[in-house]
Amino acid sequence: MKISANLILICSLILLPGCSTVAPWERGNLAKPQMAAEPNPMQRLMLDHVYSSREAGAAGAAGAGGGCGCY
Amino acid sequence: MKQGLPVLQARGGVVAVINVGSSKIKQKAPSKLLISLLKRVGYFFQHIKPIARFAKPQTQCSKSTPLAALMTAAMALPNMLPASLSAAELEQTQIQFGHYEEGGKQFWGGPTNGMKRPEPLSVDSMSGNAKISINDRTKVGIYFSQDTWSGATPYITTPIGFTTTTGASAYVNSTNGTTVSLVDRKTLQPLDPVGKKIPQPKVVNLWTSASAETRNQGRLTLNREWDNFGLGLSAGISDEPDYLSRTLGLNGRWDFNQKLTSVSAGVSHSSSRIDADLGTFSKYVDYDLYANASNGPKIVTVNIPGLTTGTPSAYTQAVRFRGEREDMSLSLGFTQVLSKNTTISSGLTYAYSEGFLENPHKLVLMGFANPKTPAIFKNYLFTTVFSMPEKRPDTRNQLTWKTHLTQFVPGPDAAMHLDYAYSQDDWGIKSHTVEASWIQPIGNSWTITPRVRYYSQTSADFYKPYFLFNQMFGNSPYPKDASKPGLLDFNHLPIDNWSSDQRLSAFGTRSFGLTITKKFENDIKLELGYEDYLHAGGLKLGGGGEDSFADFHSKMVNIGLTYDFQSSSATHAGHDMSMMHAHHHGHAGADAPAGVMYAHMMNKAGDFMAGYSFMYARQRGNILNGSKKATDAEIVASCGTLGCPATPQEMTMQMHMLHFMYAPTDQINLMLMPQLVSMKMDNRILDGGFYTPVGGHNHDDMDLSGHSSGGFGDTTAAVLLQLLHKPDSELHLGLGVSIPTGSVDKKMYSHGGEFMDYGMQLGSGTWDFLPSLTMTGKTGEWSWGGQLSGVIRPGNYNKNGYVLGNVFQGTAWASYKLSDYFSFSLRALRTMQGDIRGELAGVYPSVDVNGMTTYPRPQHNSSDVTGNYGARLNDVGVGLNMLVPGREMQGDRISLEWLQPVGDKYKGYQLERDVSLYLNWNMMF
Repeated sequence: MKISANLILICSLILLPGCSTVAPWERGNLAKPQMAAEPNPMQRLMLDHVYSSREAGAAGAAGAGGGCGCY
Repeated sequence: MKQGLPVLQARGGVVAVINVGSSKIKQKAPSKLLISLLKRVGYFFQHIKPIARFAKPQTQCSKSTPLAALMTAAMALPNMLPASLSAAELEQTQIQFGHYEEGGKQFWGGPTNGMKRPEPLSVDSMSGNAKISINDRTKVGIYFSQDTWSGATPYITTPIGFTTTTGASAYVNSTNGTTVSLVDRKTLQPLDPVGKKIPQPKVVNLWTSASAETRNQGRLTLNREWDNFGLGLSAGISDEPDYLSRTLGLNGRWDFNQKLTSVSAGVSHSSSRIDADLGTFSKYVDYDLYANASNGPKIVTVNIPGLTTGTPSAYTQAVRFRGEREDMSLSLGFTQVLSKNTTISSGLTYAYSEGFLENPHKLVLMGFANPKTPAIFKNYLFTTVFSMPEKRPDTRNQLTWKTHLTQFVPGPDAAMHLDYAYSQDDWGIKSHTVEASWIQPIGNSWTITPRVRYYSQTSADFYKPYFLFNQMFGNSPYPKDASKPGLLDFNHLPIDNWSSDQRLSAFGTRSFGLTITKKFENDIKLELGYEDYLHAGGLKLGGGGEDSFADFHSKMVNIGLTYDFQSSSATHAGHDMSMMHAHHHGHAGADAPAGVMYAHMMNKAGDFMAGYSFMYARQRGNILNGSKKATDAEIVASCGTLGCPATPQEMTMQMHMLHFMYAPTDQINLMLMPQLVSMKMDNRILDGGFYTPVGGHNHDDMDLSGHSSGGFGDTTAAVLLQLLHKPDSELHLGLGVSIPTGSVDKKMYSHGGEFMDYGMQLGSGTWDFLPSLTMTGKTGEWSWGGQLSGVIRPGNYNKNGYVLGNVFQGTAWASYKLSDYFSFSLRALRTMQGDIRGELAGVYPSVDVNGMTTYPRPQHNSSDVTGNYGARLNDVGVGLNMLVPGREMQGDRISLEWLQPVGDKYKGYQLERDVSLYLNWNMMF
């Protein structure tokens, strides 16, 4: 699985830059607030904290909630 | 955190100040000393602000000649002033409150079903964020958050057959080799140890409740942009009672292909110190592995104030689990614009962790069936049960791949966000996460975002809900070291690692979320979010997840306010500066000290103000009776027949408060003030103190070192009515009500689950009336004010049987304008606190000789005694108010006040007060 993940990444890197050219004046939609990578960053911090203290999948987590191990 | 900006700006000016300020003062008559002192301080502060003056030369800085001279001097020293600082500007602030609560957990009521369902885990949190641009290319970010959580968490997982009962409580039957449980000889299913010896293999979690704990987190970021590069640095700290963590990070970004493609890379490192409090020493837990560790995580016993076999002792043994861990991560990713409506980003993160990776609070049960159980017990095998802390590998390597697709949908003007993440580590955990959200703007100011998320993981190789062995270890059914009777020989265990933490089990989660945002006037954004989260073994991808005993469900609500200063300055750019000054800056009451509530009224219909206050108060030192130091014997005597084993030696209180204020008319203001509080008390053992168990609960060993509480406090709603409004003075009446949103149910789980004392509860538990009368005025550079206020509590007891005393306060202040930006204040404050009426009940019922049920409350501490409340308090305070640079037009202010008690008089026996600090930040819209 590790290898396949790497493969997909490498392929993407090679293929993607070729797929389009978007002129700066065509980027109006991309600049809209709903297109921001994270439109609600403060809420996301809270959610990520819940996920990382409850799930082992988040990077560096493994239920590493602090203190009493609860939150 | 919010003082970041002025500190930053102060640096440029301080250099020049030192030369000038001092020469004038000597000739002054003593009577004028105060004024000249203030003026002298004024020079200092006038020059703290030159940077903003350079940025905005239109501010009236040429009036005073010494100042002008100084300005010239400062301008002649351009090297002293980093040019980049001159444009420093607050860009954005955010504040957010959140609440998280778990529920839906399976609960086993014990063999007689007599155990009470514990309170679920709940968390109250607050976070704030400020972004400051130093110049076009450099930005600084400051982030702060506080979480306070309390409630129950599972501490061990066990089959019902391996439990034993004491009263209504159930424990794992693990008396280190001295008792035995039974398993079925063929199926190895645990059997009921008493009675019919029928199979009781059902697995349950046993719970422990914890009093509130608080974590504070802070982070500082610095970002620098070039034409095609970006570089970011971040440093963070997270501090909670058991855990201290420091993080450093560096990340970079390179844009190319006409900025259609970006490649990014990051590295971060954190060091954490864990010092987990495992409570008083338990003979049911085998600590031996860590007690004898030569390196790595270690269990130590420490002496704390507490009860040892019922007697107060400063040397009560408590167990602490200590260690260190390091976490490092490397990430590499790219972002690609695919079309004018689509972007994709993808990245790999490698994370490495080393050291104390265990969950210190979750024990593991190991059962050792004896295959040589004599044949006459033909249906079952004797099984010895041990409980012990978990053990995980010393290192963990994890690889995570994340992909994020953002698609603009032109028809509805919406955006769809799709996320997928895969992770795999060398503990055997593989996970998949899928998340999708749809961000739908409605009109110009609303957006609505529904969101779904699914997560699934496999279990760690060393996870089991409990461990059962059926083999001989030499002559013994469990590994035994002859020199340590009753303890396991961990060197000869057939497994290297073990954990029963359900976070490492196989399970899935799903969540549904909804976020609604509303923009006001283009610069304020209100955000309301909700998430419903379900954790279940049955949700694991492909099945085979953990049984339903570990399932739970949680809800989270957050409310956030973002203020964008950049779009605000654009909006207000056309306003006449001098008019704005007259409007907002010239208010009587605007320069009131930070600790005075309701001092300032808005006089224009439609105005809106949002504010943030922080308060810190500390009590420390002696126990006073009246105003004289009390001896331990006197304190114990005041506790009556029940006695007190301990007395407080330090108490701290922190409060974060938000204020929202709106003027529906020129003469009426409406206010709403929610607050988050956290408190901590440290105790010492009293000489001659004693403890009397009541309420049927006898705890031989008890931790009396202290306790903490926290969460949302009472919420104030108020109306301010203008009675008199003249150019230089104002009188207004406040009519408020305190809504009992704060809990009065905070309990001491280290003290047998009894209620904490009155002062540690988060609210009053009653609807209280809050009247106030405030007069403010100004004369030249001076402004002044006085206020009478009260907290009047009706006669009705709250649900726990008491009502706090009424409070009356009188205060008067004067403040002197040091410069356009700074003013200095002096204040006197007198507070009268009345007696508590009624009496806080105990938690456990007791039936007396007449057959009456009462709820007696044991006394752990002199502050549990109802008579030790009520006081006459006097304070003097000094304060500093600052007009926020860049926000002069709006009249935003940051103020700070330090109050020191002078001559308090206490009723009963109470811990003397030390300092109180207030920080206040008001933003006008």
